[in-house]
Amino acid sequence: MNTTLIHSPKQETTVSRPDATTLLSVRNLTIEAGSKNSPLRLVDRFSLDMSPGDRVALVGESGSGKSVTARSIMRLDPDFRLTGSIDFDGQDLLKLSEKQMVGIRGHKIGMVFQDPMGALNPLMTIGDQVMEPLRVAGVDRAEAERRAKSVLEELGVANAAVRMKAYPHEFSGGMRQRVVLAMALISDPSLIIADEPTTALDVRVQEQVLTLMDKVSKERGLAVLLITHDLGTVAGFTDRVAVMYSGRKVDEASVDTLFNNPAHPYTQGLLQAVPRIDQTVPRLLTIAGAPPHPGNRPTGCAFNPRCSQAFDLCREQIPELRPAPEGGMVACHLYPAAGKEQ
Amino acid sequence: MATTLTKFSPERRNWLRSISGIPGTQIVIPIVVVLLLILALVGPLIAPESQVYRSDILSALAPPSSQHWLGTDEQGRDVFWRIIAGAQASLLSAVAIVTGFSIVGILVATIATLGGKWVDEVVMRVVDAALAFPPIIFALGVAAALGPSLNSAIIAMILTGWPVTARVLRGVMRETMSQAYVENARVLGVSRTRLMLRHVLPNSMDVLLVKWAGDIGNTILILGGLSFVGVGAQPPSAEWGAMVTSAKGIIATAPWAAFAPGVAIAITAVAFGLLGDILQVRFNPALRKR
Amino acid sequence: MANNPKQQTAVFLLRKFATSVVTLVGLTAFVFFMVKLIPGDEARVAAGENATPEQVEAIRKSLGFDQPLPVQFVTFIGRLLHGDLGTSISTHMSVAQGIQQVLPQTIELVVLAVIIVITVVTPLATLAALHRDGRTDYTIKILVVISAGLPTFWLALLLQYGLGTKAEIFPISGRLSRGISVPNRTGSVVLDSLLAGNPMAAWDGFQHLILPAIVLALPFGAQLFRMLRAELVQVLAREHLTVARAKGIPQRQLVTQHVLPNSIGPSITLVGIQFGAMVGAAVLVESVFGLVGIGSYLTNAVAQKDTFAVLGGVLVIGVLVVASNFVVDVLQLIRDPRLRAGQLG
Repeated sequence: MNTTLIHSPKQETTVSRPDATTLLSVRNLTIEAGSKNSPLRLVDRFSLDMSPGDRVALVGESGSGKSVTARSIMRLDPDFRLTGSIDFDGQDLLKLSEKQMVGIRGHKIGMVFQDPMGALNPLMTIGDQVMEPLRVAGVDRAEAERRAKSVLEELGVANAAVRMKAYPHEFSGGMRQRVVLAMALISDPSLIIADEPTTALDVRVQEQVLTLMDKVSKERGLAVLLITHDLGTVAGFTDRVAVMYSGRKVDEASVDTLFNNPAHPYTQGLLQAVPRIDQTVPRLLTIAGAPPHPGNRPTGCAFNPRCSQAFDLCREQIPELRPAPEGGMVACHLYPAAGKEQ
Repeated sequence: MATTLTKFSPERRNWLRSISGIPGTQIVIPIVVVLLLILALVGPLIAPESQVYRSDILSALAPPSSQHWLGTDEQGRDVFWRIIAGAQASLLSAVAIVTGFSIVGILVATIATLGGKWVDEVVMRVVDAALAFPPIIFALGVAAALGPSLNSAIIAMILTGWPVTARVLRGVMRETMSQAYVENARVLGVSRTRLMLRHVLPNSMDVLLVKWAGDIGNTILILGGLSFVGVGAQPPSAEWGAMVTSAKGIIATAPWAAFAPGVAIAITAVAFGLLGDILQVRFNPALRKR
Repeated sequence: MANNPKQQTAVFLLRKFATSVVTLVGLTAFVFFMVKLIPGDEARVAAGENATPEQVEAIRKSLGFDQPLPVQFVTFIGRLLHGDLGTSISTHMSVAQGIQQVLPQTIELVVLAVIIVITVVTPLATLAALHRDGRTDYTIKILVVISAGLPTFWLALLLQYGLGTKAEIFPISGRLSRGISVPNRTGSVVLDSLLAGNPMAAWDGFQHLILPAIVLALPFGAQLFRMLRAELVQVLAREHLTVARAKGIPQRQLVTQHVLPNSIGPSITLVGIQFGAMVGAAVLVESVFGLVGIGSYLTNAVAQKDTFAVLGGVLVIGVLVVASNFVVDVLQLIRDPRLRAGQLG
């Protein structure tokens, strides 16, 4: 599989190759904020490939750059400076004008957000908000209403025709998240980016929303990029996991590989923090310390101060992504010869 | 998410912030304000009496020159020196007015806060009623009663200025009263007066100061307006509003005589208004993010 | 108590209405005693310069000014309830009529000023908020700060001189140019001209209003700008805006559908308050531009210690203030469904 991987030190790589069937191909995406004189590098040379229907999770602690990456694919933050390339459906999103980008957002790529309470405009009816992407694309009201009703019903909003006349404050958190999902789905996008879609919901509702997303995306053959800090939500939902730490992708593998043979010490730590049914004694470990501020990263591997297996090289040199022994990619000095072993 | 991202929003220019706590070029504002206040104190002392009050028909209506920097008015008085001399009447009056009605506002707000539900309701309705009364018209009434003079204008403006201050302060005081530590103190039997003096008033001081500075700008403008309709400072006073008023008849021949004192009012009003903004940002960190 | 939204709305409006009435009664009392506190003998004014002391006393008695103050107040309120504002003691005309003649002209001026404020400030504040902390924002902010600091009467004078006398773009004073007259029906010059089928006169009347309205609008516009910009900046940072952007809503639509409607709440309230304040501030502007209006009416009344005229004038302004606040409350209800549901306020 990995025959075409190129190992130049300046080039990060990803598990699946860009080919004719690639839907999204992010290459060396670097995101900087702050003034030009003292830039703050939030994300460093991030790469990721997704094929149509792929379900990929982007995992990391808060501040790892995962949300920034997700938002930057949609170019939602005009203050950020983006370099690299984001090929979607054959065009580089970074080369599009803002106007062209408006045509991509919502219409080709849908996005679901963390906080359903703040995600809806309190002054507009649910129906108007769900219909809006269609209306701005020129669909007439009757048709937009029909499609909004059908997508809300698909997402399990009972009595959709009546509920469309209601306002957000009349909806519960779980219901609002369905509405947000409906807004993302109504234009039939081929990719959904879900930025911590269940974090703000209570546990029971989390489960419902996740199941619903799973069902709908499978039925529609949607590609899903799930951003989460919780490896627990990843297991049943995605095929592949990319782990970010301090602005870089440090680990990427299929779900099975990642859960059974995690390569990066950071991934191992994250996994220990996940409650597991097969453990008799509930044991929740967290990795000691906190991720560094993007303006104050340690030299070498950014994870080295928190890593129990760190050695001298880790404090001197940033490890590049290389193929991991059990499959996938890892950026860790513990696997220097991984490339040769294959 | 939004909170995570604001941390990375672009930093503003800040060379002088470290010294003054005031960002960048804004340091100019407090400097201008201090200069204006000094001018208000010493202005009448340094302006030569002959230039300010004595008529000199021969040099009347002279355009700005090296001898008369801002020209002369219809009586040949030097516009520049009159502005210097008039700073006191204009600015110190405004300071007195705002200080005066701030005190009234504090008293009213204190009564509303300490008096309980019904007193509060009554006081606030009175404040509402007073707010609906146009200040300039009230000032006209007072001026009619006391005779037109700078003093009656000052009294009138103190009597009309307090309602907004009272309303704002009452809001702050009520908020402080409902804070956990004040409630605790109350339960422990600390007297209301002591509570007021120790906690509530000090807590309102920043709001008061911000409003005080902002109000001076507005007051200077209204004070000038009162002179203009004839109920404020009277000729030959060099109060800036009165200067504009007395020059309105000669605006076609000597526009500088009306123009310059108006600019003086504008500079003062803008400087104090901006000082209010700066103080607000200083005292209210939540606003700094805006 | 009231569970369905309609009942809650009704309760909300009733409560606002009751507060308005209480405020008006308070205002009446406040003004009544203030006017009485002004030294000077109103009976003397009413009787005229050459009246004998007996005549003055007779008039005092006939006007009820010999009664104790509280009695006078109750009598005044009683007549007020019948719509009687009393008779001016200096012009001997009905106060209601006198006000009716001048008020429409002030309202005309204030309405134009409000329109100027809203139409100029909304795009400026939007532009500034969208470019927050950028050069555009900075420039607009400086312009606004300066225009807020300009003394009204001085600016009026300069504009009169610059645009009126020198450039002759605008008429400098009065309500209509010489030689033009229109029959008085509503009291509003522009409306009367239109009613009389005289668009030229209406245009002329409108031109006479522009400079005064601009001068009146400036300080209020600056106030509104600050509030609206701050509110816009806050709303622009809200999550639902990012969500709307993410669903592909173009910038223009974003501003008109999601940003402005969500930002104008406090501004509507402010404009309501400003409407009343402008009627008061019109005094200065009317004086500079030689216009007739409630301002000039009150100025005269105060100077004459014309008790009933002052009371009537101030009350009418008070009613306007209270009414505009009430309209504002209704507008807020229309704007925000959460208010209709009684969730806020």
